[in-house]
Amino acid sequence: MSGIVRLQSIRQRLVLSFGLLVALFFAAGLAGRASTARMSEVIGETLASVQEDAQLAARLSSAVTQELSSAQRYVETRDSVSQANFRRMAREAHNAQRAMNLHDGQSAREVALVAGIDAKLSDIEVRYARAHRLADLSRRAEAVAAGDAARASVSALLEDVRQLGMLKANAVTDASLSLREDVQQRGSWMLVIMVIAVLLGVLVVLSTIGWITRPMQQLAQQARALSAGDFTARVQGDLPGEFRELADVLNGAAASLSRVVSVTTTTADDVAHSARDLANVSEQISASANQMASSMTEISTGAESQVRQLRAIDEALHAIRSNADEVRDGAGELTTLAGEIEHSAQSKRGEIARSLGILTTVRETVREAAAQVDALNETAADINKLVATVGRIAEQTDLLALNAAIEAARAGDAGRGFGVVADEVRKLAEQAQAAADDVVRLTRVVTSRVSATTRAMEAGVAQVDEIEGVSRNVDAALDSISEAAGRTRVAAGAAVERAELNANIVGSAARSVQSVARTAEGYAAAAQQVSASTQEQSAACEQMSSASTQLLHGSEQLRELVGALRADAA
Amino acid sequence: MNCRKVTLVLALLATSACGRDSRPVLIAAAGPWEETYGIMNRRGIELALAEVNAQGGVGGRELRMLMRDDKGDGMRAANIAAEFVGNQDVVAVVGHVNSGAMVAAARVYDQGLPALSTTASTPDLTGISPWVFRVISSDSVNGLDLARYARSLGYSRAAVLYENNSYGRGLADSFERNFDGSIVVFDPIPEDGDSDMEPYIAYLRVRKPDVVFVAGTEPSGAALLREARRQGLDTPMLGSDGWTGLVQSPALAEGVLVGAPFTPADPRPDVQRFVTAFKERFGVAPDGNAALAYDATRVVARAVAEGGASREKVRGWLASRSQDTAFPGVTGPIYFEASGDVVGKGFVMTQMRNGELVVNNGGRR
Repeated sequence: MSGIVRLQSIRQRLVLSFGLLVALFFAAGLAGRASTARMSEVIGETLASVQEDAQLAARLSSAVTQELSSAQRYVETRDSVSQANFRRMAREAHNAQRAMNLHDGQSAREVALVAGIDAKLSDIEVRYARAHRLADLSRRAEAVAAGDAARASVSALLEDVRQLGMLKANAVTDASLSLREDVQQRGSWMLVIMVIAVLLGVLVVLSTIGWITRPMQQLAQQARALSAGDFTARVQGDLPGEFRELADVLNGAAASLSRVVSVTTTTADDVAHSARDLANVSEQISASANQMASSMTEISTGAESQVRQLRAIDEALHAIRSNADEVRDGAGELTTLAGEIEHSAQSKRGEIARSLGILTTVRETVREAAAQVDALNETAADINKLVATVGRIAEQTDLLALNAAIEAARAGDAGRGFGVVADEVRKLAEQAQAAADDVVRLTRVVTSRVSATTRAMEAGVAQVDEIEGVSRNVDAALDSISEAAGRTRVAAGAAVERAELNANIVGSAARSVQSVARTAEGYAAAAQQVSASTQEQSAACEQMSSASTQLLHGSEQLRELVGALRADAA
Repeated sequence: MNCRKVTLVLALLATSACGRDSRPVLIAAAGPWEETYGIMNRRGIELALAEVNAQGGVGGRELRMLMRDDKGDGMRAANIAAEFVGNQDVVAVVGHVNSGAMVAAARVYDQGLPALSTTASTPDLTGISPWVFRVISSDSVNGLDLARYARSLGYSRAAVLYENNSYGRGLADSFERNFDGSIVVFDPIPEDGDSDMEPYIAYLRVRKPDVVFVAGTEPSGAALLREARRQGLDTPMLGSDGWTGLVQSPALAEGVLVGAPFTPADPRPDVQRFVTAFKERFGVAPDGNAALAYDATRVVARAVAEGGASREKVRGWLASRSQDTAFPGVTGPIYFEASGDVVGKGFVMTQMRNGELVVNNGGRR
């Protein structure tokens, strides 16, 4: 049936089919009603015709009987009433016979029989008429003989009348038979229509069931595919309108879920990438910290060698002082030498003052590095805050996914797919949370290492302070040397050789101090290295920041999608 | 349209529409062919048939006639009618001749075969079937004509003898109904010529009517006249169309009055041409029976030629005749009332003089 008429929806199909059925039953009812009406009409007509026929036959029979008895009586009595009756009944008999002849639906046999009755009756009438005239002429014997001759033909006439009656009876039987056949035929037709209607009904039911079952199976398959996580499955083919709508909705759901999965995957990739970037940055920070540590070690070592050199200076100067004691006993000739020593010591003091200035610069540089490290700490704290935000978003996402799962569970079988999706989203959120936790942990490591570096650098600064203190002590010592030299120049000017020896000693002291200056320069270089490392750390922190931003962006997309998902589920 | 003319005019057309169907057209006729009036009927039919076929048939097709003898008997007539109706080649019937036979047969022709009766004049036929027509006027008209004619001759006491059949009873009833005088005798008589008529004539001699009106045919008429002659009854005798055949018995019938649907003395050229042809072919002058049968046959032939060779078309053509399209018959213009009765034809009142029916009242009424 659907091959002939293509109907777009189950409703149209059912309405049309049942409309057709109702029309068929209505037609059957109408046909039955018309049939009944027609039957009663036909029965009425047939009965009327049969009744009329019977009346005419009775009329004919009665007229013939009366006519003949009147005719016979006239032959015997010659009374005028019998004569009048004879003529009246003759007319009546012929009229009845003519009426029968004119009556509709006569068979040729009946027509012939009626004509035969007419002929026989006419003949008998003629015979009686002749008998009557003979009687009128008072020829009684002849009249009686003629009457007897007439009466002899009567039995043949009555036989014809009887046959006509039988024919009429047969006609009635035939009529009733044909009526019965007609009734049966009409009944059969009604039955055929009813059977057709019933068959059509069964056809409609079967075809509708078939029509509904196939799309139901397709939709169930689609739902199973969705709940199994296959969002690429689509319901295809020609479906009834209602199923088409449902299939379109399912297809749309599958498409948007597919899109969500795709975007989630990209976002996860982004997050992973960002995490990798963060790991790299952390490694760089770590390397920078190591470099800083080694630089600080170098500073520390340089400081130790300064201490040692200054001790050597101290020893040398101690030797100078003992030598001066020996010289003091000498002579005044050392005075000039002492004056020169004083002068030399004064100039050494100037040099030490210069090296002190350099040390101060080194300390400032170290302090600046420390400040940079502090700033780095603050940045790390900011990262922690951002990551904490990511963590919160992940938590919310988790919570929303949980809600979505609950809604999906409430939606029943249809929501099973959404439940799975929600679970996936929740897992993603947990992964994001874990990633954020990793970032926090890494940031803490970096921060602690940077703090350690800062502490090392502060220790370096303390050591530089100590070196400065030593240098100031050296300066004080040189001052006292200068004083001693003055006193030497004043008190002992005699021992020139010794003064020269002192000059050599002081020369080596000067070399030691130069060495101190070189060490200080090494400090400066190390400080510069610390500065560069710090800059590198700063750049790494920027990278880490941008990676965090990407992480945040991914999370926002994730949240947006999850929000849309909930809107669909709602 | 006359197909023959078309073929002549369009001689170049080797195959014309006319040449396509050359099968004969079959019509049927039934009557009491051995009775004198039956013989005259048959002669009229034969002459008309011969003339039609001599002029090219109907629409180029030969007209053939299937003849059956019903002996004037209703039972036979009904059976013959059934045979005609059953024979699908028969497109129309000429006949029957007798009123009783026609009344019986009419119920059969009602199944769908057009029949044009020649001389059945009983009032019972009026409106009996849409398939039944007649060229003779009804006896309800004829009886009126005859009753007035009898009265106009000054007769006031009439005796009525009638053949106890449809024709006789109808005509006698009509006469009795319309006769402005007294009916002293009203007796049925036998149809045949062998029965004993003696008591009727003896009784008439006792009753002494002014005129005897006989509603019958030639056999009973001849017997009656013979008995009257034997008993010396000299009362004037008046007969209807059934008595036109008495021209065959001039000695017996001398002086009888006959109301006839036709007289060969009619001076119209058509009538004289017919009378001449009839005399040439059969050696005797035609009577009313022959003239009516001749007209009926020619009307049917024209119906087949102009209407078509089918039962429905013939009936349609007959029923659609009107005063303007009436067929010009030798018995007068022929067209029909819805009842199948012919319209507007009356009797010619004649008297038998030396074996001929001589117009007695100055011609056609």
